[in-house]
Amino acid sequence: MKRRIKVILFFAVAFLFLAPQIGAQDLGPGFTKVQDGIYVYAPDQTTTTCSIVVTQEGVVMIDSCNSPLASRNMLAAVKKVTDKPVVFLIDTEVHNDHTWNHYIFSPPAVVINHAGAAEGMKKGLDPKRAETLSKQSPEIAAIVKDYKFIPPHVEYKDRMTLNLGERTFELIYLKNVHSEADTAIWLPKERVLFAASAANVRTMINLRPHVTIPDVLAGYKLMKSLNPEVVIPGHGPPSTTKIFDEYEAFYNLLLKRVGEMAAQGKSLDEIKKELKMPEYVDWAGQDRLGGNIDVAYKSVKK
Amino acid sequence: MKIKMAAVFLFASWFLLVSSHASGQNLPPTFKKVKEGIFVYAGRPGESNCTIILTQEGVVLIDSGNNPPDSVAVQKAVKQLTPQPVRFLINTEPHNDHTTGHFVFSPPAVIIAAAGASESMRGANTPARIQKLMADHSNMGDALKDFRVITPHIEYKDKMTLNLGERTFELSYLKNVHSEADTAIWLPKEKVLFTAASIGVKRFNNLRPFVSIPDTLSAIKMMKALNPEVVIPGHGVPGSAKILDDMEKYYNVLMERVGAMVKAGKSLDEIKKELKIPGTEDWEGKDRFPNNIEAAYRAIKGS
Repeated sequence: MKRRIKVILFFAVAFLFLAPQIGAQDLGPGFTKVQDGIYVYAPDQTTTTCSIVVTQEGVVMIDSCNSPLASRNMLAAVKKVTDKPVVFLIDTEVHNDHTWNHYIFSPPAVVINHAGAAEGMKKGLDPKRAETLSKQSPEIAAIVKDYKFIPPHVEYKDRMTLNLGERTFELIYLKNVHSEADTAIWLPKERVLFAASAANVRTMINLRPHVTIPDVLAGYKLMKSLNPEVVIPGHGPPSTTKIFDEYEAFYNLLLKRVGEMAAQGKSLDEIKKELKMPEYVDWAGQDRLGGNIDVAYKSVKK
Repeated sequence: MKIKMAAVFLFASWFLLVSSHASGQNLPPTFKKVKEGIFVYAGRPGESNCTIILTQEGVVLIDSGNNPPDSVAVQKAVKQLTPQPVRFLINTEPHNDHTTGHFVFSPPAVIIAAAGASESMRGANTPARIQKLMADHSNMGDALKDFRVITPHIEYKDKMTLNLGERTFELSYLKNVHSEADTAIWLPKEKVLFTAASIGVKRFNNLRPFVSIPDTLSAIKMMKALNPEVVIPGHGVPGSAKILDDMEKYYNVLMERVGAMVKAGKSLDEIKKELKIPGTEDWEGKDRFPNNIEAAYRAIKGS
């Protein structure tokens, strides 16, 4: 009997040692394991987030990381957690800091984003970016030498579902929230939501002229209704629906203040000079407040 | 000089070999080349079509063949045509005669269909059906040995675009035309259209209870508006937009006649007994004509 227990114990201990228990600490600084098989690389509060979701049939990547070095770190992380390839790469938006490094993963990865993404990527493409990056260091030059522009293979419209192995990814188009083609990604079984750059972490977001605050607020409402446990923003570390609440409060207060000043007959220039948001002075990206006021002014003047 | 001539000869031979491969000259007669790099296969007339589309970055297949031996024949043809893999397999519908052979191509192929396709395939591929498939087709031998049900990886809703190499594929969901998830595929540069089984060629389609003739006519109108040069139906020989015209004409005549008979006070049973549509005498699938009448009757009665 004692011998049997010893044998069982031996196998139990051996299993614990041999089973691939990869934690975020094994992947390096900036990595967070948010659930089994789901790792987020967010070097700091403001840098672009990129993530991997491991399945029985391969890896699904969300965004291709901020820089070639970050992509290289991510590729190394993939190799540590699985021997399977990156099968799909879903973009949450079209901007360079999320998409320029596709070439590091595709082929073989099939790149997916909403309709309009390829056009948006082409529009924002800096033809000298590879050259500029190469000058930063020989290490970067070695990665960038293989650069190739890779637009999405798949452009869906409105909604799409991706099934790989045991996981399901529901892709939802977010209209007018940040770039020309923004995608929220919802893993219903895992209750994990990738929120694109509709919401980041305590940072004023660059609101371009096509963005509307009512559409952004509608995006939060939709994403909150999914009742996610984990929310991964386009920039910054993983969080919860708390980030939606914070941005909702910020935009609602901004709309209220801009609305009141406009009602008093103040011009946009005057509002931009006078309006302060003291409750948010500790948020990053204070230089974007002017752009946020422009967008709020458009909304209240409609 | 002799070495130079030998090199030229070798290069010419290699070029001829490669070009004859890509042109599909050596493929069996069951394959029909409809455009450069586009080959349509049907094992027997009337069986579901399966199409190979070559691109610079890999192959796109439209449906996976009527039965696994057809899938194997297509796989063999792909290997003759190109060293590149099948990257994507787009389903025009989820029924078995278009999807059973997925396992031959995927992995590595990524399977794409309209929303609802997986559910339909799971419902159809019961253990009993799979057992029957094995029993009915014991002559399939090796073709079935790795069989497993592969449902779509990507399910789009309404519209989707696929870009691979130099080609673009525009996918449109066709509502209520044949199955639970029908997709038309349009290649705008090549002007080639895959209509799914919304239309047939001199053939009565099986119009299930959820199929609507008005929706089918809307789909035909939408597809005609694309102005295709080549039309590839779900079943039947590829042709031109005339295939769409013929089907449109048939449904319009059917609706008109059923409508007139309803107006004359005839019951559905009476209509089914009496109605004939001239010009369809040589069409296949006559046993489906009654359910075509039922679909027209539903449309007229608004039920």
